[in-house]
Amino acid sequence: MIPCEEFEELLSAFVDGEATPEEQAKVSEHVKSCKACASLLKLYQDISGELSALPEVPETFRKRVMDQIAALPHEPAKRGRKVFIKPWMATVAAAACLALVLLISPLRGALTPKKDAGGTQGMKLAAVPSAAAPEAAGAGSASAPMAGGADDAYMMSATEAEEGDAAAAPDEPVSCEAPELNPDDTNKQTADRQTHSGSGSGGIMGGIVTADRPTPQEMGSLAPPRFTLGAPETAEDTGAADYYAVITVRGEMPEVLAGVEFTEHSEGYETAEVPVETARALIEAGYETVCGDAANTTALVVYYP
Amino acid sequence: MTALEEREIIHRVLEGDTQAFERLVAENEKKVYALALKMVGNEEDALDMAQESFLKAFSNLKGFRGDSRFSVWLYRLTYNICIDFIRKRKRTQTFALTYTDEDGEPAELEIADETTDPAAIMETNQLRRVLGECVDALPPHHKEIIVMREITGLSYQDIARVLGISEGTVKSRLARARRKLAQLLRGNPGFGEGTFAREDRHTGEREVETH
Repeated sequence: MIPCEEFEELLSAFVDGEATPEEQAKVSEHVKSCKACASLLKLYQDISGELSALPEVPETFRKRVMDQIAALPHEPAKRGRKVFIKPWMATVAAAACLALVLLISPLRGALTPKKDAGGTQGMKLAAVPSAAAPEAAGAGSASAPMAGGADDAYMMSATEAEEGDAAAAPDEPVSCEAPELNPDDTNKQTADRQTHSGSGSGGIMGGIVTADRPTPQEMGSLAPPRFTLGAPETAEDTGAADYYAVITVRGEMPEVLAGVEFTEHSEGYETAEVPVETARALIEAGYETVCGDAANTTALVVYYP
Repeated sequence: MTALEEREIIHRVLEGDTQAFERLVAENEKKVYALALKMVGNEEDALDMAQESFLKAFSNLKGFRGDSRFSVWLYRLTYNICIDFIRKRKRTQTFALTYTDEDGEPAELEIADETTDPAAIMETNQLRRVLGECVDALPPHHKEIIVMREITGLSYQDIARVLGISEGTVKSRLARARRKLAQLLRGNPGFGEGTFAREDRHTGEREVETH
């Protein structure tokens, strides 16, 4: 038995007391005449009543907790522990920054339409095979040499329309699974890389998503953070393949990370593993991200206080 | 416990009065334990998870910024700890996951035919067991959100914070999770058109409902 489509969410919100007075009246009226929805509403209420019954906590629990707390070192707010950390973790953030400098600066120049670059209109499009189309990249990419291994780099723009209407829709959620290459712009190298990712259009491994911070002029126009993807090396190289993504957070701790325990490292940063949901929220908020393997269930957050 | 009392206690704990923390444990242990129990599925692990939640809350109390109630922050800790535990446990177990995506309906699902109402009053305990099985059979993100809502009684806004998703997603995901749970229940031969002994959330009174 399926609820009337219009009432699917309303019935649920009604049970939770999250429906507005108008919605409540609507539900009450509807269930008088709709047997299916009335029956379902009652079942929802029964389930809710049943699941919300709380089990008894063993009497010894509280004492156990307090004994453990008493046994802790005195400082209550001591955060994290010093633990050994794999070297790649420390280098992931640095690799992302380096990749930004080497890849994004020149290509960003190429992304901006230039009168003297002739064919740059095409560069607005999502994928930019820099090696295959050096002339199209124009002066931008020539002025800053690429690092070795960047030959097959591509960039993907999920930006606002100011960069070109072929970019991904601005409302589309940005995540490590979302981007897809524009088939018109894929050349052999990018196709190889997609194959290498092992998931077709589903996920891009080793790509770097970063929030391209707006320039002061752009800040004036309240341009939203822009996202670009690059692929300087594979996810295996960075170690990011062990995670859904590796996300770098600097300065203020975002709300979504409240309560997450970070582990301090002597190098001055902290790390924590978070669920994919949290990672997506951070990626959508524009934090620097190295995409890992979309099949993983946790992401690593690297935090610089 | 009011928000003001809560803050005073937290202040005292941060000043070094460790014992004051016991009131926060007493106030929240039931829901934290229930949340952990529903998430990890057995009492022994749930007690460990609940204990770890409080220890982490104590150790990280300075990081609690007070922009939500302590309980919301604590549930998030518990949720993260349980997710982490489940993830590690999965590595050592072989799990056959029937469900692959959020909207994919399980193919084998059978929905009970309304016209064959057995009108049998089932044992409440059996119904509870069946309900537990059906909750466990939900896709992980559906199970999480139902458990989070029913156990903690958090508002949609607070659930959105805890799970790091939007309020709109909370609303739609809960609706989908409930519909799926209802389908699983009605498709379970142990459920039939049974009824639960309902416990009112607010009064704690128990009444047995029959058709």
